[in-house]
Parts: sequence; C-alpha cells; structure tokens
Amino acid sequence: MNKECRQLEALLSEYTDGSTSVGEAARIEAHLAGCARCRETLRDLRRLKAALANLPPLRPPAGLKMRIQEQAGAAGLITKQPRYRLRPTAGWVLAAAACLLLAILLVTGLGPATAPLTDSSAEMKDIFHDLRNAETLYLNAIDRMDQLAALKMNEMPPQIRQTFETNLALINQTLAESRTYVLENANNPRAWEHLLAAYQKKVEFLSLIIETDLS
Amino acid sequence: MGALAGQPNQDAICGMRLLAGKDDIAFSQKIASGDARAFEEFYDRFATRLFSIAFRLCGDAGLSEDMTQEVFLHLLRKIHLFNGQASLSTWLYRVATNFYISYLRSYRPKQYPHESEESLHKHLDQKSSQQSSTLHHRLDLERCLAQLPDGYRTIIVLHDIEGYKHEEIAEMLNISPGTSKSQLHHARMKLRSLLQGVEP
Ligand SMILES: [Zn+2]
Repeated sequence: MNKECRQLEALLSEYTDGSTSVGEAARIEAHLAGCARCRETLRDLRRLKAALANLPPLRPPAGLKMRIQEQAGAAGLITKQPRYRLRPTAGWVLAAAACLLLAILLVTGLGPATAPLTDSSAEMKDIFHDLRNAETLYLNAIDRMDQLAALKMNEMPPQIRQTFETNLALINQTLAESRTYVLENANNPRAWEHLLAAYQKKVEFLSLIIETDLS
Repeated sequence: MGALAGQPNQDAICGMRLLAGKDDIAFSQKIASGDARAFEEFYDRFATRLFSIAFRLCGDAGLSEDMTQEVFLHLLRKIHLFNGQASLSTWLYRVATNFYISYLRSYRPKQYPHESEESLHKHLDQKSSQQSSTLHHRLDLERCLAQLPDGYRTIIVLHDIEGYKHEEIAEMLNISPGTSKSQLHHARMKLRSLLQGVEP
C-alpha cells in the first residue's frame, strides 16, 4: 500500500459517514478512481455500517423480569410484588427430555454420576460463559423461526393449525421450565443439557411447521 | 394470537420517541411512584433494547443480564429526574448507556487499544478479497463484535448501533470528539479484519 492510501484510508470512515470536508471528499474521490484497494475498503466499511445499523434487538432471557421485580420490591422501588411466579417442575422436565438426554450423554461421555461443578473451575466457567452467549443468539434465531412458523400457521386449515398450536404450547412450556431449572442450577451441566435439548426440540418442530407443504 | 397480546406495540414505541409529551411525563411519574403495573409496562417496552445494548457493550450474556438488572434498579431510582426535555426513551437510553459505561469501567479496567495503523494494515494485506461476500452474516457479526477489544467495541456500539454522535460519545467516555472519530475508524477496520478471519 502506498503513502497516499495510508493517508486517505484514515479518512474513509468519515467519508462513509458523510462527514468529511468538501476538499477531503474531492481528494478521496480522485484517489478512489484509481485505487481498487481503497474502493474495496470503502465498500466493506459501507456494508459494515449498514449491517451494524440493522442488527436486530436481542431478547432478554426469560426470568429476568421476575428477578428485577423481586429486587425492586425488596429495595422498596415498586410497591406490589409480581402477580405470579413460574414454578419449576424439574422432575417433569427430566422425564420429558430423557430420550434426547440419553443420546447426548452417550455422545459426550458424561455419565449420570457426574457431580455438579463448582465455581472454582476456570475452564468450566469459560464453558458456561460460552453456553450463555450461545443461548442468547440461539434464542434470537428461534424468535425468527417463530415468526416464520406463525405466518405459515395462518395459512393452515383451522384443525391442523390447532394441532400445531397445542404442540407448540407444550414445547414452549417445557422450554420455560428448563430455563427456570437452568437459572436455579446455572453451574450444572445437566441443567444445560435439558435446556439445549428443549431448544433442539423446538427448532425441529418449527422446521416441521415451516416446511409443511400446504398445496 | 393470544400469546402476542402482552407484547408492546412497536408503532406505539416508535411514535413515542418523537413525542416528549405529557404521556411520557405521566408515565414516568407513575413508575416513580412505585406502581407495579407501570413497572411491568416499563419493562416490556424497554427491556429488549436495554438488554441488547448491555449485551453488545460487554459481549457476555451472563454479565449483560446482571447489567440489565442493575440498570432497571438505577432507572427506578432516577426516573423522578425525567423532565420531558427529551422523549422518555431518548432520556432512558442515555442514562442507561452512561450507567453501563461506568459499570463496565469499574467492573474491569478500561483498555483502549492503541494498535498502530501499520499493524492493522498488516492484517488487511493478508486477506483475500474473495472472502468479502460472506462478510456480514449476522451471527458472525455478533461474534466478532464480542471479540473486539473493549474500547473499540464501545465506540462501535455507541456510534454505529445506537446512533450517538461523536460529540455525545466524547462526553460519555470523557474523550475528545477527535479521539472518538479516530477510534471509530480503527474499530471498524479491526472489525472488518475479524470478519475476514485474518486475526491470529
Ligand atoms: Zn488507495
């Protein structure tokens, strides 16, 4: 890269934002006309800016609202306690996820005797950190699938639609309970397995809805 | 569908940004009074964006949950200060963003990377231009954003995602607008190189 590229490249971000002076803009444009490398940088910067501006919002995890309500209530910042509380039924979740779980256990080699891990394991902390990040992105992907599935269900005859809705409600319930179980056992790999299995089930079911041939 | 009944109306939210009207003030007073139902509405309207800002500022789901929780408590304590000079949403996001910045500053020492332009160019020179077509897959973008050094990520989030001006960012971060501009350029170039997968 030559000296002029180096000088002008520092201005390409501002040029992308339309905030360079008329003189600077003219100099950049004259250079761009003869420099493919800087044209490519400019194109990438423009795409990047557009992609960043269009990032969709990320949904906060279920249960956060309730935790904030409890905290705010305890601090005297809101007067009434929330109206309901989701009851985790871990036993039921265990039963529902059992089949998928067995497969996961076989693959990962984690036996049922594995004890819940403590905070002291730095490596595991790192893994849980990755799991939570993955979950956030996963949830948002599922959100988009949810929207596609809702559109598809709108086109379905009422009876078929009813069946899908009932099953989807069941899956959502399992998911909510698995999520609560994870919230209360965040450092237990088993709890994460249940949750991920429940997500997997939902993805499979939503795919089924989206791919249903209505013709 | 019934499941959507509790969702906030997006158009209503967008409209509200433009009006710093009596509704905003009345709503803020209701929240400040400790009304539990007003809080629920408050949460439903603003939690998604507040969580998104937190997540993108820190790149960590667990930490952003804590940050969102703390910011709501902070906003509940401060909301009586809202005076209607800006719309409620503008005011809230600004107060929340300032809170997040100082939260992260005390959470871990601020690190503004001072990577030289030469070393950025070194990364860029290695890349092949063919890779650019896959540049902006959204998940890649989120992942690379989370990998950016803290200072770079902050500038990108504030300017390119949240839409703050350099003057506003300068005030929030206690730096000069010129520094904000040059940091933004370095941050974008770094993000571009991360997306191209040339990082060591
Ligand atoms: Zn050039």
